[in-house]
Amino acid sequence: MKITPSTQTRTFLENIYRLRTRENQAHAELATGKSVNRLSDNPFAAAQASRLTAVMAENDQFLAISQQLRGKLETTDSVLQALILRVDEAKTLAAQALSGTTTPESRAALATAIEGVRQEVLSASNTQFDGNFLFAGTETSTTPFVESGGAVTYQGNDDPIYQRLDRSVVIQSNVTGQSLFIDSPSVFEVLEDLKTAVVNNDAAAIRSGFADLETVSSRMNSTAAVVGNNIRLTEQLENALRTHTQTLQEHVSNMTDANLAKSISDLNITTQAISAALGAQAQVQQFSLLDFLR
Amino acid sequence: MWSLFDSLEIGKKSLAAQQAALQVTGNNIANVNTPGYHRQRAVLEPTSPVPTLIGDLGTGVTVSQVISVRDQFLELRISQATQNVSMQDTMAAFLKQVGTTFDTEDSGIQEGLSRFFNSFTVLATDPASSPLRYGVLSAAQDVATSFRNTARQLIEIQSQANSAAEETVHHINELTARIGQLNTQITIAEAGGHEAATLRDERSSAIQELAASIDIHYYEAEDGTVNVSTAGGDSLVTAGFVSEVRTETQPPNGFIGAFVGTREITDSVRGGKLGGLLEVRDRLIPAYQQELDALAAQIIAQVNAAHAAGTDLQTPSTSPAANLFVPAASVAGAAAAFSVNPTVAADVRYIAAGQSGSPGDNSNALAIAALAFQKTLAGGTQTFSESFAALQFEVGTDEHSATLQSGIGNAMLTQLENSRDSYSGVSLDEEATDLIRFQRAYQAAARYVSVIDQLTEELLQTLGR
Repeated sequence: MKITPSTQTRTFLENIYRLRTRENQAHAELATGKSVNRLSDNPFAAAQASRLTAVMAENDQFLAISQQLRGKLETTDSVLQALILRVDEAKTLAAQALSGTTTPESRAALATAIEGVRQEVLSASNTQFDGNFLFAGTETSTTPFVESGGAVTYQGNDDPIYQRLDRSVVIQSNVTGQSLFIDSPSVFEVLEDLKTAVVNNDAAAIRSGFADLETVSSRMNSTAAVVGNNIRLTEQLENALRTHTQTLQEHVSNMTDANLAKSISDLNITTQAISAALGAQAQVQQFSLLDFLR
Repeated sequence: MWSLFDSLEIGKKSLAAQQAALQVTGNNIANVNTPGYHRQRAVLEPTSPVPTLIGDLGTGVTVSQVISVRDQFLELRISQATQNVSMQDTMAAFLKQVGTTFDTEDSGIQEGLSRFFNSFTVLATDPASSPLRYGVLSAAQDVATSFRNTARQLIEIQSQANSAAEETVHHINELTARIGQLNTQITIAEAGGHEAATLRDERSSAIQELAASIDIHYYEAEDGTVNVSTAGGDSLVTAGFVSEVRTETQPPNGFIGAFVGTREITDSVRGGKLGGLLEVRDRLIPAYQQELDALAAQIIAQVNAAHAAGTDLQTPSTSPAANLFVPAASVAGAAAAFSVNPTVAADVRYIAAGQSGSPGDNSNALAIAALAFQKTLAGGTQTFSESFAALQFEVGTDEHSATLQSGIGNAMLTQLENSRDSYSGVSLDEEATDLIRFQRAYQAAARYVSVIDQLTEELLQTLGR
């Protein structure tokens, strides 16, 4: 085959362009640490990475929300634990009132103590978290329990508030005041009636109040168990989200990260090849038969 | 009767022929780097012999013609390869721009969608919070801006392709006019029976350049003229007559259409730069626009529907709530018109996080956030994010494919051009060999003339005593 100067030049340029492209690719990989810097570098990997990055961002958001929600649930749980103690305290006071050795003075003291418990329960029922009332249903900006003339009225509603913890899990994030404090037997009414029964030394009413307090305590314990379960669920989901994100991150890295050792090797090889090609071209172009004619 | 003067004549003819051959060689060497130049060759032929009693006596040599060495079949294959390479190169260059537009980091759509739906998840933690409502508004404006920017960039690239197509048509007309002129000149120049090699080289170059601009068919007629037509069969050049490619601005977007005579060829151009430009302008970008618009329209419609199912925080609260995004007038153009409802943008209390009007009700925020992972697109198989990723995949694959095809086509073209050079190109080694050959022949002819001269002188001296 006849090789003309044009053939040599064309072939040389094509080879150099190809080497320069590889050199450029290796440079880009080393500069960014990524083997996929453009969609066209690997369309499948780029599109997958794009989609999975969105999922990772979503997971990060769920994680942040879960942590925040856990704070709310833990506050709810601590309020519930305090309420259970207060109700137990009221039960103890009722038992003392039924002992048969009470005097009017001691019954008055017991009634005062029961009123103290009632006030503490009222205060706890209006607990706020992050500026929102915990037990107001969805009326979170309205003080839910207001006392007027010895009667406590509920200003909130019975609507649940749900929170999504991941794509498939939604939990109720609130305990409504209606179900915890108002539904019969209402803790406020039970304590108010118990106080009156103690003052009147009405043993039957005191026994009835004691039984109602058992019911209230049982309801609060059940609610605390649900809240406790939800706290554990958030912890489990946070771990699952972290693991999922880590798995996705590894997957994206496997698809798009550059193999730096290979990139460095590619860069060295192409640089040497370019140098050799330039040198060879300079040598080849030096001679033809004309150089030997006299 | 044969005389010494006849012998001198043979020497003279030989000197002239070798000198002419040397000149052709010199011309080849001079044009070693001239693009499109085909190596020329002096055709040496013996002159007519003189019949004698002892048989025909030769009368020397002459250069019957100077011809250029060309392979029509190779030229044709190169022109076909050029059409393909030029189209793929053009597509690859434009798709590179499109690819940049859809790159995850540059486009911002994927990140914007993620931020937008996540902002509702965050709002659900405190639905009445003003800062979180501003977070939703900001994310909504970001996602709308991302769609608008991407749509605008696609339109810009499409307009660039249109402008380039118009310039290419002008260039095509310049080339066809030049080929027509050369046809006429070649006809005149070759009327005497000699090949007009230089003009033919110039015409070959013009044809290859034309092939790089548009897909063509051509053939050489018996009179030496070349007839060129589009791949669709519309004649562009017939001998010295040229049909211009006209352009007309067409609705709805004012892009040009190409016509030969009254026939529109816009849709039938399938090669060359013009083919690549029209492919990008009329098929690829509209397909991307259509998918982007469909995605935008779905997001707008679904988010608005979910938002309207809620209740805002106004006093008194209103339900159904206002649209969060300005509804798309039509699917076409939805991405370019993507924007947040100005009413909502002016007052974030219009954002409907709940469905009851209670400040702690987050049910609607949760419903809108859940749209992010509901497979409502592509027949219930894709989420919004997956739909955009599929579009990114399509764009990336198209660019990858065009770049790959361009590389393969260029390698094939190089191979063909090397083959042509091998046959028609100027090799300095070959020319140097010819140089030696003709130089030696010239030296021998000169020596022959010298010998005849000596014989003549000797004869004159002998007879002159």
